[in-house]
Amino acid sequence: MTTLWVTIAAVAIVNAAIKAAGPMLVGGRDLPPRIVSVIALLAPALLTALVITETFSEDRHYVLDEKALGVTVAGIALALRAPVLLAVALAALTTALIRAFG
Amino acid sequence: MSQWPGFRIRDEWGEEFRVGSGTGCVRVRWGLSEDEIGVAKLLELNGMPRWVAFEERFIVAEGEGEILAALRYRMAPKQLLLGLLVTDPWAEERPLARALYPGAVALAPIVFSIAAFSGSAQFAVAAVLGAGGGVFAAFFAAVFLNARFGPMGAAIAPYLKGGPLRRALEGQTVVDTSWALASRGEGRFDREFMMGATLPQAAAWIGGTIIGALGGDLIGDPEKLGLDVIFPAFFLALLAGEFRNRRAVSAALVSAVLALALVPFAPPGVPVIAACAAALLGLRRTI
Repeated sequence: MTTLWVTIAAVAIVNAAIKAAGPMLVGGRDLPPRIVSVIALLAPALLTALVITETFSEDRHYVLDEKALGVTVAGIALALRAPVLLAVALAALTTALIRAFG
Repeated sequence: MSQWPGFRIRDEWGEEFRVGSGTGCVRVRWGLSEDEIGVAKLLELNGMPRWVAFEERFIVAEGEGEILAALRYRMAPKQLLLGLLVTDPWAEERPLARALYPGAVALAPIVFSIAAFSGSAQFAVAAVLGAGGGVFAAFFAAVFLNARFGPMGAAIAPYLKGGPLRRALEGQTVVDTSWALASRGEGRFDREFMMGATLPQAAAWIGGTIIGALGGDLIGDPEKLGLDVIFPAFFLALLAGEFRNRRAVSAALVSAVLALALVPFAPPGVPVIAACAAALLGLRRTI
């Protein structure tokens, strides 16, 4: 129990330090354009990796289950310009229905 | 919370509940008058007056002939009011004794949400500790995951206001979704939009953690409701907004291949970080 709290405190402190570092050190200066373009690509790279691992993996195994269909439905909804909340709700609904009746 | 023996007492009224078997077994039961000395000893070890043991009633956890923990209770109509928990301070390695008080366990994720407010770090710590990993592994997994806030903070730094301290404070509002939403392309950012997007997220996240930690059992099996698909679907929605140019699509494809390839070889969480190397495509002048 104590170790859990120590871990929580340590992660909280380091998290705050990491978040403070960029703004404090870089200040108001502009970053080199190459660095900016790397950072600009961090978000799509991170989000893609999250989608892929959350959908197709569990621990160290590949999975292909109802989640994949749910995410596909969300992708179709988003491609048809559906609002985010609707797309996410449709994904959950699809997955739940397949699990219930599939 | 059915795994906590303290809760099962309610169902097994007047019964004792056993955890484990043989000599290592811990029995959770209603305190008897002969337990008062043991409870008084526990109170004393915890720096509390002994007399409480003789004035109040307790549910006790007993193992190897010793009282390991005592939970004060009072009866009210249709209610069992749980109070102070005292445990044997030397029973650190006997977590079942502490299992009496799920409240303390439920509190940890709530405090975590408030103190760190970082879902990925929390999930990483929970995943590593839950899988039996060590404290250091959990810590480094979380720090590794949160390392992305370094360059993200640097990217948004020119758009924050004030001196270093104020910038550092404003930098605390950087979270994935707000940062991604506030990105105006070509490395430009909307400071007010990011901070405005973080506030409701913080409230929802912390509130959601409280509900989940204290009432998670009420909704039943989250997988049955398809709730586990919410994460990838939401990330996909954010990703759709990122496809502003061909570079972003290329980075996403490389990231997908890297993440998939690493799944069998790296512990959970690591493929996500490693796949971020796809952002290095930004170093090329043209793609």
